[in-house]
Amino acid sequence: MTEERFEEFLRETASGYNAPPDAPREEMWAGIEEARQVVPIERARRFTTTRWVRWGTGIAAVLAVGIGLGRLTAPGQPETASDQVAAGAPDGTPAAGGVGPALTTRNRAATDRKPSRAVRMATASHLDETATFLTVFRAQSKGDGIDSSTASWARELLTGTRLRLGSRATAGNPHLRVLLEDLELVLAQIVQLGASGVESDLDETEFIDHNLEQRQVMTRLRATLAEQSSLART
Amino acid sequence: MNQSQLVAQVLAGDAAAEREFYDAHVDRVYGLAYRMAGDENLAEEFTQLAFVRAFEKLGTFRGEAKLSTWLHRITMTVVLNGLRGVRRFRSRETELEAGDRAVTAETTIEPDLRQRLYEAIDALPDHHRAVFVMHEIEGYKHEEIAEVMEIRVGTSKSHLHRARSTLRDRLSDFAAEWAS
Repeated sequence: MTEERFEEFLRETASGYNAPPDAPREEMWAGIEEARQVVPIERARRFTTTRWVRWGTGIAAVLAVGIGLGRLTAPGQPETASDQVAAGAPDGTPAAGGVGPALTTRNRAATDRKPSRAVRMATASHLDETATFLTVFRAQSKGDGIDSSTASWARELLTGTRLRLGSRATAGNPHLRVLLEDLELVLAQIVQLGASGVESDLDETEFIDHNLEQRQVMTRLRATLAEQSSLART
Repeated sequence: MNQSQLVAQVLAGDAAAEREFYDAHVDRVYGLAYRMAGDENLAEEFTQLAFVRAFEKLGTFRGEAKLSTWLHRITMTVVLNGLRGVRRFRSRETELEAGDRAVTAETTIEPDLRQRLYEAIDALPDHHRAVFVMHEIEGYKHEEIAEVMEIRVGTSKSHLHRARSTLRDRLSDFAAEWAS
């Protein structure tokens, strides 16, 4: 009898456990479409095969292409604030405070919503895995070159990075958004490296590796990781 | 359009079919993700990632299971992996937060039975909680859970039994209330 009562209690009460609200269909679909955008191979190859001696003048264009990955193929979308940041930073460093209020499908959803603690932890976890990946990539690029599993891993991280760019994980945090956009570029380049079958091309891996250093991606990644971990405690 | 036609259309790059596939399944996927994550933000991320993965892997769908089961399997994998990442960071913060908790613990008001149940469900091991949520709340059968979780039917039943036992133990001091 007692067992039956407990079962009844569970049935009645457990149904309210994490009861979901209505699914935000359109918002999520917009994020899915962005995350699924494919890097145009020819465009990616064009900039990944650019020799690093041209970076001084080419980095802004490279970033503009990288940050606008696939977005150029989506008609009607306005230029992003971060495009402007990248274009205005020819030395390759993010312009502090340069992110304006322009709205895109990426940041529109995030503007009026603060990330929850759980999302900050998820973001920290994503950044942590990305840092690990880039460390592995850099070691491989200085050794025997990247293998196919590296490109596959990069693709997974690229999807996660793009989803976060359109989520409230970036709400009110322009530094995080710019970092994610840089990571998007680097990861897309690595994905293309695998897709184009030029894993052993040292010029291309060196280019990406140098890009990481030039943009101080690893340093900023670790700093942001620490920041996200700290925010997740509050 | 039946399941195989829809899959074929999606694989052919038909944008309308992609949206139809999404519309047909998003509520259930989001519901499952939300039940497991307990957080709107995370549920959205998990749902989006599940669909991205599904579109990537749809070419491998052979029709041996229902499309919804196949999609829910991807969803649960995404959710459990995602929650593992969150927990990893949460555990890292545990020591840092220990002092704060010691202070706040004294001022915590005893939660009611419903809240205690939800906390007890939260505290279940992920695989037990997943089976509990799917069976007791979302109405999946053990056979479906076994396919989604890639476990045996007997394992699903065992997880559910353990989940119930754990909840019962954790709520034992409220026995008089739920038995009344």
